[in-house]
Amino acid sequence: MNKHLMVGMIACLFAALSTGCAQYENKRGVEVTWQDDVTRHLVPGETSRKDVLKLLGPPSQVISLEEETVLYYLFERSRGNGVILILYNRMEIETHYDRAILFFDANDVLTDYATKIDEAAQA
Amino acid sequence: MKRRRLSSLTTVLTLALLLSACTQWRYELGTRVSPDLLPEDDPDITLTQVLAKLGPPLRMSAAGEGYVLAWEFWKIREDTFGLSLGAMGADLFSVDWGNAHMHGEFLLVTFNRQHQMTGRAFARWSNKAGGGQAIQPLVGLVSLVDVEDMVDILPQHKWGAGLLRPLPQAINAQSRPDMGQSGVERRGTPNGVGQRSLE
Repeated sequence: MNKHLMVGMIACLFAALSTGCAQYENKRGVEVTWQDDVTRHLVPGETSRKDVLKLLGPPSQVISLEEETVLYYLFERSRGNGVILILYNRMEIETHYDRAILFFDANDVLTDYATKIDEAAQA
Repeated sequence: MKRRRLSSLTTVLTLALLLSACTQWRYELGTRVSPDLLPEDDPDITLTQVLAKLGPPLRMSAAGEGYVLAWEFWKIREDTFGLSLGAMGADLFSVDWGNAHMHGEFLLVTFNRQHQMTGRAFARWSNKAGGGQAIQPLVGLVSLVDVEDMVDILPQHKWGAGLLRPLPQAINAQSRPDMGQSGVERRGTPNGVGQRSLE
């Protein structure tokens, strides 16, 4: 067999063997504990900060404005898929954020709150 | 003769295959922002109503006599094309092209101490985020596209660690926009001026 043809075929084989695909997942933040069955226990004007910390655990961030405090919970989830074909490579990464925010007045009583669990991220 | 041409063609094609490559990265961060859910001229809208419509914000801070809340969505596209001898074991010559594009949506809403909305601003943009071309004859040193700062994790994850940073950053913690006490900042904000310039 021609030497050039042989080298070419080996290179092609090498290229074919070097291709692949990739999947990627990255999770950061606090565990999601703000599902509906938990948040139905949260009642503005009644629930205390102590109750919330007991239900949801330590937050990602605490923000204060004089006597008011805000607890912020965040869980960040990234998912990626990719193809590696040497000649053409493509990666797609989607990031979704599950989060909860709770406001407390000077007496440590819940005044406002909102939660979100991104369904797309869980699918 | 015909066979020789065929083998030469195969070798050239194989070399081209091994030496060149196109890479695409696609990032999508968060979910689309819907500013239409907030009536622009309603002075009586409350924090409770805004949270019910938009959900928890992605960025938040106490600011003066109230709060500032921000929702954001990003779509970033990075394309690079290169031809290099690196695959042949000789990092001597490379020709590269790179381009980045971003689409952003950012909604900022401010509230007073009584949790009444005092203002709102929304921006949507779609433009080029950078790029370039390079011929690097000896060593490939320059990265043409860099969007790492745009796809970083949210600052809430670094809140506690923020107070343990090296001195210039730790001293500036009360002024940092990612600590939740002095405003918020968008992704990609340069730190050469403003609240981080002393770090």
